[in-house]
Amino acid sequence: MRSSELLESLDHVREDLLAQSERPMERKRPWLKTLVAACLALAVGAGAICAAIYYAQRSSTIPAQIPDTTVPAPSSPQNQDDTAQDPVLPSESILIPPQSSEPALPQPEDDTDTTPSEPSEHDMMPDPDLSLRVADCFGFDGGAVTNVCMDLAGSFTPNVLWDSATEQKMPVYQNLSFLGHGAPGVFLYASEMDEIVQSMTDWLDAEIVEKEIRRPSDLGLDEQFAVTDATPVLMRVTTTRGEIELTGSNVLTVRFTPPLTPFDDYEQNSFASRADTLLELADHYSQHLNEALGFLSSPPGVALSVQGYAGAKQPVTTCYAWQSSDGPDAVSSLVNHDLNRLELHIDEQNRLTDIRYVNYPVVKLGDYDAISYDEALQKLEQGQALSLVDEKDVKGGKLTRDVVADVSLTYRPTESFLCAMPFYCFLVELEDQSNVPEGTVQYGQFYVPMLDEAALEDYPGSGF
Amino acid sequence: MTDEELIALYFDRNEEAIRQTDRQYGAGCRALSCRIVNSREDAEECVNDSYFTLWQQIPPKRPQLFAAFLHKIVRNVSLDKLRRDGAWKRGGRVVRVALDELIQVAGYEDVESSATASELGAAVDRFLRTLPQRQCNVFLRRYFYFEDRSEIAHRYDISPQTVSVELSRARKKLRTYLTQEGYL
Repeated sequence: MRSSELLESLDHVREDLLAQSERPMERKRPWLKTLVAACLALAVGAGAICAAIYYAQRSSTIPAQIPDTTVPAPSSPQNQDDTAQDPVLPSESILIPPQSSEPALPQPEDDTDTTPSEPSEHDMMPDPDLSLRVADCFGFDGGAVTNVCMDLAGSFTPNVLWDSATEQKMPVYQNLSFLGHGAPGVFLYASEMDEIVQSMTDWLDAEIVEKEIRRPSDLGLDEQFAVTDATPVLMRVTTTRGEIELTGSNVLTVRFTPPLTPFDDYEQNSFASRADTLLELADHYSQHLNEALGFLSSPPGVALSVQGYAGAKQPVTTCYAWQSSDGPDAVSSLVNHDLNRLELHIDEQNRLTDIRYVNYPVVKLGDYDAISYDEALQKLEQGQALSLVDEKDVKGGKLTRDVVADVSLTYRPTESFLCAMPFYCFLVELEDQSNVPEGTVQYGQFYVPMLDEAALEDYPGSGF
Repeated sequence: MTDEELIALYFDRNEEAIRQTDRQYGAGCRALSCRIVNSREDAEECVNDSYFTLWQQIPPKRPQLFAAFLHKIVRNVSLDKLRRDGAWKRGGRVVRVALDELIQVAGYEDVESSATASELGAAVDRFLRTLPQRQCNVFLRRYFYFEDRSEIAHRYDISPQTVSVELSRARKKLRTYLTQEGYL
């Protein structure tokens, strides 16, 4: 059967169904699902586990291949300059779900299909009717949130103020990209990729020299992920001005050959204020990307990550959270930052080598009760945090609130898990400061889930 | 003017019927056609041809749901134009994307089905009635009306991602249904 035949067959669908589709639908009142907790269970399905988890309450050996989780002193402008020794975080989430059975994926509220079927990554959780109170959620001054920012490799910049006195919901998202490639109906199709590539090529004022398409069957992914070859995994286009690469999971990379000076297409030409300059640069490039990406509808507010070279000529990653002036509410902006990211890569000569735009498709699962900052601190002190850092490496050898230097709200979407959910990220000073550049302080990151325990069934570690 | 009054004009062979049809439904028809043929001029031509077809069909037909009846004609005429020009892949963006998406249902072999369009259409109609209403509606807005995800999302006050998920699930179910019914 050809797909065109299917399209044409719809001519014979009866008119009552067409008329029904014209009418706006009443919003159904969602009803509580006890599977909320199961939905958030961080069990591994078919995803890959890329990093070991280390519980603060236990003394385990840190695998040798996992780097220390270190960050410079937070929230100070001088740490954002070129000489900051930005750390490199593990490439994957620090969270590992229990290696038990697959999560019981929730059934949609209005799905009357009773045919047994395998859990689908696209089964959607209806919005539960839970009231959510995040007043006095966290902070150092009696509850006001002062630091809401990205959690990317490297340093981060507080740029979003979130008023915890106002009742706000904490959304949780299903990460639709967790299987990695080309889930049908969610990611880019060949025709969409063609359109983006053509638009980018026009922007580069280049010509296409060669085009390569890889499909799931080329990589043996079709059996593993039940996707068809209609969804390309990768499209790589060589143009006269560089290479463009698109993956089915909405990652666009443009590599410039030869590299551009960062201000090739840009008016300003000084590094007087690197952060501001790079943010403007991101704004400049994102306009082009928004045009090219069109229907992907990049949300306002993209986190800018710049990989460049510090004075020591070592690759570092400096990240700037960036939000356009007409962005939505703070939490949405934050989530959008993490889930839609613009990266600029700069070489040793400060030339722009490539731009990378990452878009994680997500579906909102619902809004959930959050624990307060004090409750999160208690959990931290009781060893109920997730980290790659051993508690014994913390200053004083014990996790107490006294060694917490900063706290932030962060979302962690990863390829291994089903959910992108909020965490308190505590920065804790480490005992060993011998290998850090003068003027900087080494911290470890400890994550406490922001959601109430009731929503975290089967969370690794006791007490959750 | 109500649809009943409009149909009465057709039965009276009053040419005011065409003007009223265009006044009430012309914008939607042109938008639908333009999404298919990807050209305003061609869409205008298709809509005019659709009015002619409508004039020929009413009477004797007396459609219960005039707008849907008209939209089917417009869609058919517009897709015919694509077929005549051998230009499926030069249709509107959503048409091309819809073709790609429906490969997941139809399969990757480029082989014509032995079923007629009406047989297949009847099967799809039966299938759509098994779906939850929203899923059915989203499916039709996408593959009958060729609306893009943001338009559908706006129509039903849901997110574009929700639209994608609904479409994905509907396509999977359709493939299963057509396989069970022996069409695949």
